[in-house]
Amino acid sequence: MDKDGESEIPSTPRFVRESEFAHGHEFALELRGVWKSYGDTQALRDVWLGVRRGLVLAVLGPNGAGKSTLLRIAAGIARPNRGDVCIDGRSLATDPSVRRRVGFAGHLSFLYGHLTAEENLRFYAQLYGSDPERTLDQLDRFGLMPYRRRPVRTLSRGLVQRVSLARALLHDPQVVLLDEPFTGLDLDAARMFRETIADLRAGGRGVVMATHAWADAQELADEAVVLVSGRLALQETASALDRDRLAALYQTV
Amino acid sequence: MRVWWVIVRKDLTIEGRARDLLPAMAILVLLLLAMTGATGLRAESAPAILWISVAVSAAYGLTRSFHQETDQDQLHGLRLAAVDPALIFLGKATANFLIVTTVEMVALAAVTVFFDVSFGARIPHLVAVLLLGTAGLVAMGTLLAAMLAASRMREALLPVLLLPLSAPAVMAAAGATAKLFPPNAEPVFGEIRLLLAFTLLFVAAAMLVFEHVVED
Repeated sequence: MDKDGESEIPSTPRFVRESEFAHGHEFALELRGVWKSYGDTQALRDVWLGVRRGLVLAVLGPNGAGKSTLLRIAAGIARPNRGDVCIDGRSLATDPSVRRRVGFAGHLSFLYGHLTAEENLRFYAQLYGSDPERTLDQLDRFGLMPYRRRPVRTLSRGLVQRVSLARALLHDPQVVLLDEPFTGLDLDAARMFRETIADLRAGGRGVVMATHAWADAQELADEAVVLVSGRLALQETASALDRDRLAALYQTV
Repeated sequence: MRVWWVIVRKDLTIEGRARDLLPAMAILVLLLLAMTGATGLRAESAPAILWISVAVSAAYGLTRSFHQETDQDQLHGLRLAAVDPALIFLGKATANFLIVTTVEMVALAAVTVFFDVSFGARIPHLVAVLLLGTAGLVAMGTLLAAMLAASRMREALLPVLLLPLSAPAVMAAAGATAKLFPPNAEPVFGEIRLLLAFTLLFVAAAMLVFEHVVED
């Protein structure tokens, strides 16, 4: 592959073409021609993406494809070199406060190890100006009441992920971004996460889920995109996602 | 400003539980003062040694204080909540200020023992000099700690950068403290005004640039 990786990446039909953004209000989340590089490494290239309300979008791709970067830019915690991100039709570049409408659960939990699960959630609730009572509701919703007084650093990885998801949803966000949400979860927790994603969809939230797992995308998502070397290489409805084609795309890296 | 206090309280709660800053910083400052005191240096040297000890101990502590905002990417958690970066800085700096001031109180008590000095006159001036000098040192240190948080070399780099960059505040504070230590007891209004100017400048500059420091 050349340095930019241009030569071997399949040409990209834009999942949401520029003209569709004339009706941007349909989208909970829009990425408009986003480019991002870290030093010499081009992490994202001209990504156009629209996530409608009440739909789950799966973002698939091999390691290093740019999935996490895409989510971090969508959340507003990384800034694109070019392009724009809109939440509920409002640009993050011109109105950074709109990032409060995003809930993000990534590889790292954003939690403080020396604080208890409840203290962590209360801390974030205070930052968001949320009703403190929601803290207990969230702990209950994710089966965390028995663990709420334990410091997060003493919890298992699966429990930490539950607290992290509870934190991400604490302020009732319109857009939910989940980076590999099922990694390290036991069966019970995975079921809980699946139910939560279904609830978010039913509640009209826009959900973006980065995953390696084709089966998760098929089961949970309405739409799917595949990122290869930072470029959107495939767009499908999730049910039409073909495993062989996915494997072939992965091998182009 | 409620958010500012929420961040301060969180940091102090964590320090209260972890106890990984205050005891280490206090031991470091006591060792430095005990070793210099044992060499028979005269009491006139005490203000300079006090401030060097506090600055070295602060450099050590501030490096670690920001680690709690990066090990699970918590700083971006704060940014996601659209917390004003200036308030994040103020919250972190206030908590650091309270921790360093506590260490400074320990250091001051140690100075009276190791250098056989006592304070009677101009206590309000001494308090003002100590607080303003510490505020300037901590403002610069908190900003540098945030800048270096992602660096693997942060433990080595912070003292190297903090000590020269905070030198105007630390030297002014040491000079003013010398004028207040017995047998001197001169008024230090000019020095207090200078320290106030340094501190305001450091805090204002840090609040202005902090957003760019925490941007990915």
